[in-house]
Amino acid sequence: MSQQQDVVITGMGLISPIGLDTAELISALKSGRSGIHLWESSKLSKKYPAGRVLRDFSDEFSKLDLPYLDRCTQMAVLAGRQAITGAGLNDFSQYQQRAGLYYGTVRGSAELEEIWFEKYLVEHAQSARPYTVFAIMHNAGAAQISIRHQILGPVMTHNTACTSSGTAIGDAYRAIRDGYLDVAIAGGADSPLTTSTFVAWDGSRALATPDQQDAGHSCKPFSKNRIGLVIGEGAAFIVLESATHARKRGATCLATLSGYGIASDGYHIGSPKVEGQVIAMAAALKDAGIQPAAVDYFNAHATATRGGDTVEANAIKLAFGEAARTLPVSSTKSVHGHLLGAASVMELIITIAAMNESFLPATTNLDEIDPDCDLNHVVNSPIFDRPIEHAMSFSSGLGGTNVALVVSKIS
Amino acid sequence: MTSALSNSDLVEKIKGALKERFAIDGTKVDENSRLRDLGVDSLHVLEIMLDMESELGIKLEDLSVPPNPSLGEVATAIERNMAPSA
Repeated sequence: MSQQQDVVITGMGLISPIGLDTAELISALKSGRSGIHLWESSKLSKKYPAGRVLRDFSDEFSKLDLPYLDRCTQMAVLAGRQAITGAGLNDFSQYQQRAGLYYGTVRGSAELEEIWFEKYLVEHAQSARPYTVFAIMHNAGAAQISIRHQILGPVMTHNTACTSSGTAIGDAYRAIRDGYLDVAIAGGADSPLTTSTFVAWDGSRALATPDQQDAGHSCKPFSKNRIGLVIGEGAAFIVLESATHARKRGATCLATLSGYGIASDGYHIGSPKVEGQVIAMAAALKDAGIQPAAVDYFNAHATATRGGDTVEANAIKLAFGEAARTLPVSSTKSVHGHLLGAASVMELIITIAAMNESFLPATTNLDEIDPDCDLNHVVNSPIFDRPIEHAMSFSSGLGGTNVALVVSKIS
Repeated sequence: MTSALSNSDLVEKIKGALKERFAIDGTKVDENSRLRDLGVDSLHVLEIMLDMESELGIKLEDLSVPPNPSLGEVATAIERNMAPSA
Protein backbone atom coordinates (compact mmCIF):
# COMPACT_ATOMS: atom_id res chain seq x y z
CA MET A 1 0.00 0.00 0.00
CA SER A 2 1.30 3.43 -0.93
CA GLN A 3 1.75 6.24 1.56
CA GLN A 4 -1.47 7.76 2.93
CA GLN A 5 -2.73 10.73 0.96
CA ASP A 6 -4.06 14.02 2.34
CA VAL A 7 -7.67 14.48 1.18
CA VAL A 8 -9.01 17.86 0.12
CA ILE A 9 -12.43 19.12 -0.88
CA THR A 10 -12.48 20.98 -4.17
CA GLY A 11 -16.18 21.28 -4.99
CA MET A 12 -19.49 21.72 -3.20
CA GLY A 13 -23.03 21.75 -4.59
CA LEU A 14 -26.45 21.71 -3.05
CA ILE A 15 -30.18 22.09 -3.49
CA SER A 16 -31.56 22.90 -0.06
CA PRO A 17 -34.41 24.61 1.79
CA ILE A 18 -32.09 27.57 2.48
CA GLY A 19 -30.42 27.91 -0.88
CA LEU A 20 -29.94 26.44 -4.31
CA ASP A 21 -26.17 26.92 -4.21
CA THR A 22 -23.44 27.63 -1.66
CA ALA A 23 -23.68 31.41 -2.00
CA GLU A 24 -27.41 31.38 -1.22
CA LEU A 25 -26.78 29.00 1.67
CA ILE A 26 -24.18 31.30 3.23
CA SER A 27 -26.45 34.30 2.82
CA ALA A 28 -29.33 32.47 4.54
CA LEU A 29 -27.13 31.31 7.43
CA LYS A 30 -25.83 34.82 7.97
CA SER A 31 -29.31 36.35 7.95
CA GLY A 32 -30.98 33.51 9.85
CA ARG A 33 -33.56 32.98 7.11
CA SER A 34 -35.55 29.81 7.69
CA GLY A 35 -36.34 27.33 4.94
CA ILE A 36 -39.01 25.65 7.03
CA HIS A 37 -42.58 26.05 5.81
CA LEU A 38 -45.89 24.32 6.32
CA TRP A 39 -46.43 21.12 4.33
CA GLU A 40 -49.89 19.70 3.84
CA SER A 41 -51.59 16.90 1.98
CA SER A 42 -55.24 16.57 1.00
CA LYS A 43 -55.07 13.07 2.50
CA LEU A 44 -54.00 14.15 5.99
CA SER A 45 -55.80 16.20 8.59
CA LYS A 46 -52.61 17.60 10.15
CA LYS A 47 -50.20 20.08 8.67
CA TYR A 48 -46.49 19.64 9.34
CA PRO A 49 -43.54 22.00 9.30
CA ALA A 50 -40.99 20.83 6.73
CA GLY A 51 -37.71 21.99 5.22
CA ARG A 52 -38.97 22.62 1.71
CA VAL A 53 -37.23 23.45 -1.55
CA LEU A 54 -39.80 25.76 -3.14
CA ARG A 55 -38.96 24.96 -6.72
CA ASP A 56 -39.94 22.38 -9.30
CA PHE A 57 -36.92 21.10 -11.27
CA SER A 58 -38.62 19.26 -14.11
CA ASP A 59 -37.83 22.11 -16.51
CA GLU A 60 -34.14 21.30 -16.07
CA PHE A 61 -34.53 17.95 -17.87
CA SER A 62 -35.74 16.76 -21.26
CA LYS A 63 -39.00 14.86 -21.61
CA LEU A 64 -36.93 11.83 -22.57
CA ASP A 65 -35.04 12.02 -19.28
CA LEU A 66 -37.88 12.88 -16.94
CA PRO A 67 -39.58 9.47 -16.71
CA TYR A 68 -36.36 8.10 -15.18
CA LEU A 69 -35.99 10.92 -12.67
CA ASP A 70 -38.21 11.52 -9.69
CA ARG A 71 -37.69 14.62 -7.54
CA CYS A 72 -35.02 13.00 -5.36
CA THR A 73 -32.89 12.02 -8.34
CA GLN A 74 -33.46 15.35 -10.07
CA MET A 75 -32.06 17.17 -7.04
CA ALA A 76 -29.19 14.68 -6.79
CA VAL A 77 -28.21 15.18 -10.43
CA LEU A 78 -28.36 18.98 -10.14
CA ALA A 79 -26.45 19.19 -6.86
CA GLY A 80 -23.90 16.65 -8.09
CA ARG A 81 -23.35 18.62 -11.28
CA GLN A 82 -22.95 21.83 -9.28
CA ALA A 83 -20.22 20.26 -7.12
CA ILE A 84 -18.45 18.63 -10.07
CA THR A 85 -18.41 21.68 -12.33
CA GLY A 86 -17.53 23.88 -9.34
CA ALA A 87 -14.42 21.75 -8.94
CA GLY A 88 -13.56 22.34 -12.59
CA LEU A 89 -14.42 18.78 -13.59
CA ASN A 90 -17.10 17.17 -15.74
CA ASP A 91 -16.21 13.89 -17.48
CA PHE A 92 -14.28 11.42 -15.34
CA SER A 93 -13.71 8.76 -17.98
CA GLN A 94 -9.97 9.49 -18.10
CA TYR A 95 -9.73 8.26 -14.49
CA GLN A 96 -11.22 4.87 -15.37
CA GLN A 97 -11.58 3.00 -12.05
CA ARG A 98 -9.75 5.67 -10.01
CA ALA A 99 -12.83 7.92 -9.74
CA GLY A 100 -15.72 6.91 -7.48
CA LEU A 101 -19.11 8.07 -6.30
CA TYR A 102 -20.54 7.53 -2.82
CA TYR A 103 -24.20 8.40 -2.36
CA GLY A 104 -26.48 8.37 0.64
CA THR A 105 -30.26 8.28 0.75
CA VAL A 106 -32.87 7.16 3.23
CA ARG A 107 -36.17 7.22 1.37
CA GLY A 108 -34.85 7.37 -2.18
CA SER A 109 -37.61 7.97 -4.68
CA ALA A 110 -40.40 7.61 -2.13
CA GLU A 111 -42.65 10.05 -3.93
CA LEU A 112 -42.84 8.09 -7.18
CA GLU A 113 -43.31 4.80 -5.40
CA GLU A 114 -46.20 6.31 -3.48
CA ILE A 115 -47.79 7.64 -6.68
CA TRP A 116 -47.81 4.17 -8.22
CA PHE A 117 -49.12 2.52 -5.10
CA GLU A 118 -51.97 5.01 -5.09
CA LYS A 119 -52.71 4.25 -8.74
CA TYR A 120 -52.90 0.60 -7.80
CA LEU A 121 -55.24 1.29 -4.89
CA VAL A 122 -57.47 3.86 -6.57
CA GLU A 123 -57.36 3.00 -10.28
CA HIS A 124 -56.46 -0.66 -9.82
CA ALA A 125 -53.48 -0.13 -12.11
CA GLN A 126 -51.75 -3.45 -12.61
CA SER A 127 -48.61 -2.15 -14.27
CA ALA A 128 -46.48 0.98 -13.97
CA ARG A 129 -44.73 2.90 -16.74
CA PRO A 130 -41.74 1.03 -18.18
CA TYR A 131 -39.20 3.26 -16.44
CA THR A 132 -40.62 3.16 -12.94
CA VAL A 133 -38.44 0.42 -11.52
CA PHE A 134 -35.33 2.29 -12.70
CA ALA A 135 -36.58 5.51 -11.15
CA ILE A 136 -37.51 4.14 -7.72
CA MET A 137 -34.45 2.00 -7.03
CA HIS A 138 -32.46 3.45 -4.15
CA ASN A 139 -29.24 3.77 -6.17
CA ALA A 140 -30.94 5.74 -8.96
CA GLY A 141 -29.33 9.02 -7.90
CA ALA A 142 -25.85 7.52 -7.80
CA ALA A 143 -26.32 5.74 -11.12
CA GLN A 144 -27.67 8.82 -12.90
CA ILE A 145 -24.71 10.95 -11.79
CA SER A 146 -22.20 8.25 -12.69
CA ILE A 147 -23.70 7.87 -16.18
CA ARG A 148 -23.83 11.61 -16.84
CA HIS A 149 -20.27 12.22 -15.63
CA GLN A 150 -18.70 8.87 -16.61
CA ILE A 151 -17.63 7.87 -13.11
CA LEU A 152 -16.34 4.37 -13.79
CA GLY A 153 -14.91 3.22 -10.43
CA PRO A 154 -16.97 2.28 -7.36
CA VAL A 155 -20.48 3.77 -7.46
CA MET A 156 -21.94 3.02 -4.06
CA THR A 157 -25.22 3.77 -2.29
CA HIS A 158 -25.26 4.08 1.50
CA ASN A 159 -28.37 3.64 3.57
CA THR A 160 -27.41 4.26 7.19
CA ALA A 161 -30.42 6.40 8.09
CA CYS A 162 -29.49 9.96 9.08
CA THR A 163 -25.77 9.28 8.56
CA SER A 164 -26.16 7.96 5.00
CA SER A 165 -24.19 10.76 3.37
CA GLY A 166 -21.76 10.85 6.31
CA THR A 167 -20.74 7.23 5.82
CA ALA A 168 -20.64 7.92 2.08
CA ILE A 169 -18.15 10.74 2.65
CA GLY A 170 -16.19 8.59 5.09
CA ASP A 171 -15.78 5.76 2.62
CA ALA A 172 -14.80 8.17 -0.17
CA TYR A 173 -12.26 9.78 2.16
CA ARG A 174 -10.71 6.45 3.07
CA ALA A 175 -10.58 5.26 -0.54
CA ILE A 176 -8.60 8.36 -1.53
CA ARG A 177 -6.47 8.47 1.62
CA ASP A 178 -5.48 4.83 1.15
CA GLY A 179 -4.61 5.28 -2.50
CA TYR A 180 -7.46 3.41 -4.22
CA LEU A 181 -8.91 6.53 -5.87
CA ASP A 182 -7.66 9.90 -7.09
CA VAL A 183 -11.03 11.62 -6.93
CA ALA A 184 -14.53 10.93 -5.60
CA ILE A 185 -17.94 12.56 -5.45
CA ALA A 186 -19.77 12.05 -2.17
CA GLY A 187 -23.08 13.24 -0.85
CA GLY A 188 -26.72 12.39 -0.69
CA ALA A 189 -30.30 13.26 -1.53
CA ASP A 190 -33.79 12.76 -0.23
CA SER A 191 -37.24 13.90 -1.22
CA PRO A 192 -39.24 12.55 1.69
CA LEU A 193 -42.09 15.06 1.83
CA THR A 194 -44.79 12.51 1.09
CA THR A 195 -47.91 11.34 2.87
CA SER A 196 -46.47 7.94 3.75
CA THR A 197 -43.32 9.49 5.24
CA PHE A 198 -45.27 11.84 7.48
CA VAL A 199 -47.73 9.12 8.52
CA ALA A 200 -44.88 6.78 9.45
CA TRP A 201 -42.95 9.43 11.33
CA ASP A 202 -46.08 10.73 13.01
CA GLY A 203 -46.52 7.26 14.45
CA SER A 204 -43.22 7.63 16.31
CA ARG A 205 -44.45 10.90 17.88
CA ALA A 206 -41.06 12.37 17.04
CA LEU A 207 -42.26 15.10 14.65
CA ALA A 208 -42.58 18.77 15.57
CA THR A 209 -45.95 20.44 15.29
CA PRO A 210 -46.03 23.84 13.58
CA ASP A 211 -44.98 26.77 15.75
CA GLN A 212 -48.13 28.76 16.43
CA GLN A 213 -46.59 32.13 15.53
CA ASP A 214 -44.38 31.13 12.62
CA ALA A 215 -43.95 27.66 11.08
CA GLY A 216 -40.39 28.70 10.22
CA HIS A 217 -39.56 28.56 13.93
CA SER A 218 -40.82 25.02 14.54
CA CYS A 219 -37.45 23.32 14.85
CA LYS A 220 -35.87 24.12 18.24
CA PRO A 221 -32.73 22.03 18.84
CA PHE A 222 -31.31 22.10 22.38
CA SER A 223 -34.22 24.24 23.55
CA LYS A 224 -36.13 23.53 26.72
CA ASN A 225 -39.21 23.97 24.54
CA ARG A 226 -38.19 21.64 21.71
CA ILE A 227 -41.06 19.64 20.30
CA GLY A 228 -39.51 17.26 17.78
CA LEU A 229 -37.76 17.05 14.46
CA VAL A 230 -38.68 18.74 11.19
CA ILE A 231 -38.18 16.63 8.07
CA GLY A 232 -36.58 18.35 5.09
CA GLU A 233 -35.72 17.66 1.47
CA GLY A 234 -32.68 18.38 -0.63
CA ALA A 235 -29.43 17.11 -2.09
CA ALA A 236 -25.79 18.00 -1.53
CA PHE A 237 -22.44 16.74 -2.81
CA ILE A 238 -18.77 17.42 -2.35
CA VAL A 239 -15.80 16.58 -4.55
CA LEU A 240 -12.89 14.97 -2.73
CA GLU A 241 -9.47 14.31 -4.14
CA SER A 242 -5.97 13.65 -3.00
CA ALA A 243 -4.09 16.83 -2.27
CA THR A 244 -1.42 15.71 -4.73
CA HIS A 245 -3.97 15.28 -7.48
CA ALA A 246 -5.67 18.61 -6.72
CA ARG A 247 -2.33 20.42 -6.78
CA LYS A 248 -1.33 18.76 -10.02
CA ARG A 249 -4.42 19.99 -11.83
CA GLY A 250 -4.38 23.42 -10.18
CA ALA A 251 -7.71 22.99 -8.40
CA THR A 252 -8.93 25.41 -5.74
CA CYS A 253 -9.02 23.61 -2.39
CA LEU A 254 -11.91 24.58 -0.12
CA ALA A 255 -10.90 22.52 2.93
CA THR A 256 -8.94 19.52 4.06
CA LEU A 257 -11.02 16.57 5.18
CA SER A 258 -8.70 15.69 7.99
CA GLY A 259 -10.58 13.20 10.15
CA TYR A 260 -13.31 10.60 10.06
CA GLY A 261 -14.72 8.56 12.91
CA ILE A 262 -17.45 5.96 12.75
CA ALA A 263 -18.89 3.85 15.55
CA SER A 264 -22.15 2.04 16.10
CA ASP A 265 -24.17 1.85 19.29
CA GLY A 266 -25.29 -1.77 19.15
CA TYR A 267 -27.99 -0.65 21.52
CA HIS A 268 -31.50 0.20 20.27
CA ILE A 269 -33.14 0.65 16.87
CA GLY A 270 -34.58 4.08 17.74
CA SER A 271 -32.61 5.40 20.72
CA PRO A 272 -29.06 6.71 20.54
CA LYS A 273 -26.39 5.92 23.10
CA VAL A 274 -23.79 8.31 24.46
CA GLU A 275 -20.88 5.87 24.26
CA GLY A 276 -21.13 5.20 20.52
CA GLN A 277 -21.22 8.92 19.78
CA VAL A 278 -18.22 9.64 22.01
CA ILE A 279 -16.19 6.93 20.30
CA ALA A 280 -17.01 8.33 16.83
CA MET A 281 -16.07 11.89 17.88
CA ALA A 282 -12.85 10.74 19.55
CA ALA A 283 -11.92 8.59 16.56
CA ALA A 284 -12.33 11.56 14.20
CA LEU A 285 -10.14 13.76 16.41
CA LYS A 286 -7.48 11.06 16.54
CA ASP A 287 -7.67 10.55 12.79
CA ALA A 288 -7.20 14.30 12.28
CA GLY A 289 -4.30 14.29 14.72
CA ILE A 290 -5.73 17.13 16.81
CA GLN A 291 -6.67 17.65 20.43
CA PRO A 292 -10.26 18.56 21.42
CA ALA A 293 -9.25 22.13 22.21
CA ALA A 294 -8.15 22.64 18.60
CA VAL A 295 -11.75 22.39 17.35
CA ASP A 296 -13.20 25.86 16.84
CA TYR A 297 -16.75 24.91 15.82
CA PHE A 298 -19.01 21.87 16.23
CA ASN A 299 -22.00 21.39 13.92
CA ALA A 300 -24.29 19.12 15.89
CA HIS A 301 -26.73 16.51 14.65
CA ALA A 302 -29.36 17.70 17.21
CA THR A 303 -32.71 17.13 15.55
CA ALA A 304 -34.74 18.69 18.38
CA THR A 305 -36.09 15.46 19.82
CA ARG A 306 -36.35 15.26 23.60
CA GLY A 307 -34.00 12.32 24.04
CA GLY A 308 -31.60 12.71 21.12
CA ASP A 309 -30.35 16.22 21.87
CA THR A 310 -29.54 15.35 25.47
CA VAL A 311 -27.59 12.24 24.48
CA GLU A 312 -25.56 14.24 21.98
CA ALA A 313 -24.88 17.05 24.46
CA ASN A 314 -23.58 14.51 26.94
CA ALA A 315 -21.46 12.86 24.25
CA ILE A 316 -19.88 16.20 23.30
CA LYS A 317 -19.01 16.85 26.95
CA LEU A 318 -17.39 13.45 27.30
CA ALA A 319 -15.53 13.49 24.01
CA PHE A 320 -14.24 17.05 24.35
CA GLY A 321 -13.76 17.12 28.13
CA GLU A 322 -12.71 20.51 29.45
CA ALA A 323 -12.69 21.92 25.91
CA ALA A 324 -16.48 21.41 25.68
CA ARG A 325 -16.95 24.43 27.97
CA THR A 326 -15.75 26.79 25.26
CA LEU A 327 -16.47 24.79 22.09
CA PRO A 328 -19.05 26.73 20.02
CA VAL A 329 -21.89 24.37 19.11
CA SER A 330 -24.90 24.82 16.86
CA SER A 331 -27.52 22.77 15.10
CA THR A 332 -28.40 24.40 11.81
CA LYS A 333 -31.34 22.01 11.42
CA SER A 334 -33.22 24.83 13.14
CA VAL A 335 -33.37 26.59 9.76
CA HIS A 336 -33.23 23.79 7.19
CA GLY A 337 -34.74 20.78 8.95
CA HIS A 338 -33.50 17.21 8.81
CA LEU A 339 -32.50 16.33 5.25
CA LEU A 340 -32.21 12.60 6.06
CA GLY A 341 -29.89 11.12 3.41
CA ALA A 342 -28.49 14.57 2.62
CA ALA A 343 -28.19 15.68 6.26
CA SER A 344 -24.52 14.87 6.94
CA VAL A 345 -23.20 16.32 3.70
CA MET A 346 -25.40 19.43 3.93
CA GLU A 347 -24.11 20.11 7.42
CA LEU A 348 -20.52 19.42 6.43
CA ILE A 349 -20.87 21.98 3.63
CA ILE A 350 -22.26 24.46 6.17
CA THR A 351 -19.27 23.73 8.41
CA ILE A 352 -16.82 24.34 5.54
CA ALA A 353 -18.64 27.52 4.56
CA ALA A 354 -18.47 28.74 8.16
CA MET A 355 -14.74 27.98 8.25
CA ASN A 356 -14.02 29.79 5.01
CA GLU A 357 -16.23 32.78 5.89
CA SER A 358 -15.03 32.93 9.52
CA PHE A 359 -18.41 32.86 11.20
CA LEU A 360 -20.29 30.59 13.58
CA PRO A 361 -23.74 29.60 12.30
CA ALA A 362 -26.45 29.77 14.95
CA THR A 363 -29.02 27.46 16.44
CA THR A 364 -32.14 29.57 15.97
CA ASN A 365 -35.29 29.29 18.10
CA LEU A 366 -33.11 28.78 21.15
CA ASP A 367 -34.70 31.25 23.55
CA GLU A 368 -34.35 28.96 26.54
CA ILE A 369 -31.52 26.42 26.60
CA ASP A 370 -32.39 23.04 28.08
CA PRO A 371 -30.23 22.71 31.23
CA ASP A 372 -29.63 19.09 30.20
CA CYS A 373 -28.01 20.38 26.99
CA ASP A 374 -25.74 22.98 28.58
CA LEU A 375 -23.08 23.63 25.99
CA ASN A 376 -21.47 26.75 24.57
CA HIS A 377 -24.32 27.33 22.13
CA VAL A 378 -24.30 29.84 19.31
CA VAL A 379 -27.69 31.22 20.26
CA ASN A 380 -30.16 32.58 17.68
CA SER A 381 -27.72 34.77 15.71
CA PRO A 382 -24.48 33.89 13.98
CA ILE A 383 -21.22 35.16 15.44
CA PHE A 384 -18.99 36.86 12.87
CA ASP A 385 -15.23 37.34 12.63
CA ARG A 386 -14.43 34.05 14.32
CA PRO A 387 -11.48 32.28 12.69
CA ILE A 388 -11.98 28.51 12.42
CA GLU A 389 -8.95 26.30 11.87
CA HIS A 390 -10.62 22.96 12.58
CA ALA A 391 -14.31 22.06 12.84
CA MET A 392 -16.31 18.91 13.41
CA SER A 393 -19.66 17.93 11.91
CA PHE A 394 -21.42 15.08 13.67
CA SER A 395 -24.34 12.87 12.63
CA SER A 396 -26.17 10.08 14.36
CA GLY A 397 -28.49 7.69 12.55
CA LEU A 398 -31.48 5.67 13.66
CA GLY A 399 -30.23 2.16 14.16
CA GLY A 400 -27.12 3.43 15.89
CA THR A 401 -24.55 4.53 13.29
CA ASN A 402 -22.52 7.56 14.39
CA VAL A 403 -20.27 9.58 12.12
CA ALA A 404 -17.92 12.45 12.90
CA LEU A 405 -16.08 14.39 10.20
CA VAL A 406 -13.30 16.90 10.85
CA VAL A 407 -12.45 19.59 8.34
CA SER A 408 -9.44 21.86 8.53
CA LYS A 409 -8.62 25.16 6.89
CA ILE A 410 -6.34 25.08 3.89
CA SER A 411 -3.05 26.54 5.06
CA MET B 1 -61.23 -0.64 -37.57
CA THR B 2 -57.57 -1.11 -36.76
CA SER B 3 -56.88 -3.52 -39.58
CA ALA B 4 -57.45 -0.69 -42.07
CA LEU B 5 -54.38 1.17 -40.84
CA SER B 6 -51.42 1.13 -43.18
CA ASN B 7 -47.78 1.14 -42.14
CA SER B 8 -47.55 4.83 -42.96
CA ASP B 9 -50.66 5.53 -40.84
CA LEU B 10 -48.92 3.80 -37.93
CA VAL B 11 -45.74 5.81 -38.54
CA GLU B 12 -47.82 9.00 -38.25
CA LYS B 13 -49.37 7.77 -35.01
CA ILE B 14 -45.92 6.96 -33.62
CA LYS B 15 -44.72 10.42 -34.62
CA GLY B 16 -47.69 11.86 -32.74
CA ALA B 17 -46.86 9.80 -29.65
CA LEU B 18 -43.18 10.85 -29.81
CA LYS B 19 -44.25 14.48 -29.86
CA GLU B 20 -46.81 14.05 -27.10
CA ARG B 21 -44.62 11.99 -24.79
CA PHE B 22 -41.14 13.30 -25.47
CA ALA B 23 -41.52 16.63 -27.31
CA ILE B 24 -39.81 15.23 -30.43
CA ASP B 25 -40.61 17.39 -33.46
CA GLY B 26 -42.46 15.18 -35.95
CA THR B 27 -41.50 17.36 -38.91
CA LYS B 28 -37.87 16.30 -38.49
CA VAL B 29 -38.43 12.56 -38.50
CA ASP B 30 -39.68 10.03 -41.02
CA GLU B 31 -40.07 6.29 -41.25
CA ASN B 32 -36.34 5.81 -41.77
CA SER B 33 -35.31 7.81 -38.69
CA ARG B 34 -33.46 5.66 -36.16
CA LEU B 35 -34.95 6.12 -32.72
CA ARG B 36 -31.58 6.00 -30.97
CA ASP B 37 -30.56 9.05 -33.00
CA LEU B 38 -33.51 10.86 -31.46
CA GLY B 39 -32.41 9.92 -27.93
CA VAL B 40 -35.16 7.30 -27.70
CA ASP B 41 -34.15 4.11 -25.86
CA SER B 42 -35.78 0.70 -25.66
CA LEU B 43 -38.02 1.65 -22.72
CA HIS B 44 -39.24 4.74 -24.53
CA VAL B 45 -40.08 2.48 -27.48
CA LEU B 46 -41.93 0.13 -25.15
CA GLU B 47 -43.99 3.01 -23.82
CA ILE B 48 -44.85 4.17 -27.34
CA MET B 49 -45.98 0.64 -28.20
CA LEU B 50 -48.12 0.53 -25.05
CA ASP B 51 -49.60 3.89 -26.06
CA MET B 52 -50.49 2.32 -29.41
CA GLU B 53 -52.21 -0.53 -27.58
CA SER B 54 -54.46 1.93 -25.81
CA GLU B 55 -55.06 4.14 -28.81
CA LEU B 56 -55.83 1.33 -31.22
CA GLY B 57 -57.64 -0.88 -28.74
CA ILE B 58 -55.39 -3.84 -29.44
CA LYS B 59 -53.23 -6.17 -27.39
CA LEU B 60 -49.61 -6.44 -28.50
CA GLU B 61 -48.70 -10.04 -27.80
CA ASP B 62 -45.24 -9.64 -29.33
CA LEU B 63 -43.38 -6.50 -28.23
CA SER B 64 -40.10 -7.40 -29.90
CA VAL B 65 -38.45 -4.87 -32.24
CA PRO B 66 -35.10 -5.01 -34.06
CA PRO B 67 -32.09 -3.42 -32.33
CA ASN B 68 -32.00 0.36 -32.84
CA PRO B 69 -35.24 0.33 -34.81
CA SER B 70 -36.45 2.94 -37.26
CA LEU B 71 -39.96 4.38 -36.93
CA GLY B 72 -41.01 2.21 -39.83
CA GLU B 73 -39.71 -0.93 -38.11
CA VAL B 74 -41.65 -0.13 -34.94
CA ALA B 75 -44.75 0.36 -37.10
CA THR B 76 -44.10 -3.01 -38.71
CA ALA B 77 -43.79 -4.65 -35.29
CA ILE B 78 -47.19 -3.24 -34.32
CA GLU B 79 -48.66 -4.22 -37.68
CA ARG B 80 -47.48 -7.78 -37.15
CA ASN B 81 -49.61 -7.99 -34.01
CA MET B 82 -52.64 -6.66 -35.87
CA ALA B 83 -52.53 -9.22 -38.66
CA PRO B 84 -55.46 -11.63 -38.56
CA SER B 85 -54.37 -14.98 -37.22
CA ALA B 86 -54.24 -17.80 -39.73
